[in-house]
Amino acid sequence: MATPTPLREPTFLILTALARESMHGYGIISDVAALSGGRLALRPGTLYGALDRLTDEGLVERDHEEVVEGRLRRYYRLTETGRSVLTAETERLRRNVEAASQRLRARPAGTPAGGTSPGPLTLPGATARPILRPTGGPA
Amino acid sequence: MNQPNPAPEQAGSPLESRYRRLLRAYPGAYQADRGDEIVGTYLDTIEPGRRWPSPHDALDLLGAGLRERLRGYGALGLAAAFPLAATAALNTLIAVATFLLLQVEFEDPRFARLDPVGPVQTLGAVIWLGWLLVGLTATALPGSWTRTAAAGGLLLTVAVPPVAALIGQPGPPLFVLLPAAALGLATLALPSHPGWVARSLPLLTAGCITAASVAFSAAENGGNMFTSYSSTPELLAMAGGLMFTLVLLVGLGRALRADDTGLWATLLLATPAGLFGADQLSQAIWGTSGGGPTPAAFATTTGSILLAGAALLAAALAGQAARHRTVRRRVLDEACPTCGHRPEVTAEA
Repeated sequence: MATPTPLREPTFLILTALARESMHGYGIISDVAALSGGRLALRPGTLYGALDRLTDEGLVERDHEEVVEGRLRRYYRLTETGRSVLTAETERLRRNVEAASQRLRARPAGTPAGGTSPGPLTLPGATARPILRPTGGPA
Repeated sequence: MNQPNPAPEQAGSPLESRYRRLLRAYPGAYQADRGDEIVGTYLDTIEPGRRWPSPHDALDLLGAGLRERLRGYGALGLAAAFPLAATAALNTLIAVATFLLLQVEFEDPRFARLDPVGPVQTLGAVIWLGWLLVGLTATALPGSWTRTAAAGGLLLTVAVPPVAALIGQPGPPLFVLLPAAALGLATLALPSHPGWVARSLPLLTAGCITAASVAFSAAENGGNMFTSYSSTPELLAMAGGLMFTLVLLVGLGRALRADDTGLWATLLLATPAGLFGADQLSQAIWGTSGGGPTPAAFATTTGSILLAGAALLAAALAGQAARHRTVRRRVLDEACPTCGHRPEVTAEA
């Protein structure tokens, strides 16, 4: 099954969490929360559904199991395909960030921070009266 | 970053049993394979002292269980169809609410021979204003807020009629309320991250219906075609048909790109669309009594529409499951032409 690109944020963060080492469900949930600055709180039902989908797509596979204090812990790891997809997505995002950063740095000095809008469209020689006005109301 | 278990005392607790009961939403084979793991992870994530699964946890497990069942049928498109159906349902509700407020509720109550409720004909105005508020929420606020607002709208839709009866005030008739409640139920699946189209539609819908309503009033030049709920069944049946047709067209468009989401959404909305026509259908089949169908005829027609809608969905699911099984069996039966390798047979989810 083909992986839709660009990856959705939860998918990207699950793959990122597994990039360093194999992890069990609780570890992935904690790591995704940390990676997103606490913004993304995955619930186990959603997480295991996503892991099943990623397993079907060949991006993730089961690693090993252990029983800790009577609870089953199953570890998951990235496959080589998963690592390639994550690398490609990271590169795509990096290029986007770089392009945006360059544009922001290229802003001419003295331009208002609120934006670089050229302002209302005016006729040549008739600068006192704008043709288009930013807000509604009688002309 | 594999953290230690923060709440080992929860193992074997009543809380664990309650989470296990929620696991019944999953297929049996999946429960056997993943049940311990899912419940263990839940017990890892909860704060100490909790005795019951939170409503969010329950919804998460029930939703994930439903998706897993649909995955087993090869019908994940149905799960993906809920947000689309919810968006169509909300905009239909906004259209109906705008029209009924302008053309019925704010009309002169003498037309309907009702004792008015303040400036409006019935307490139904509260329901329609509520859905317009939900539309505003969908435009301006995050998806989770909109779902909460939609739950409030649904609550208003089902609570206002008994309240109206209790305090002796007029309320809207059942042939409007039933489809509105069915659509309201669908709106609970509104998307968490709506795109700009979904955000723009409520205002666009309300604006278009307001313009059409004003134009209609001007065209009838003081006439009184729509003056009370009893003058609207034909129009409501047309609204249901229009909603169904538009979603079907979207579904066919998506089907051309091998995406069956829109067709599943059409099936989900078939029942509410049918309910919009229940009054007209009752009259066509059973005849009229005092300008409308008898309560028994209306109840029979409504029950039949609900059963037909459920049967249609069940038949589509069964057909998809049979097709999925056939494709799966064919894949498993085929050996690699080069090495003769056959795929491993895994347990059916």
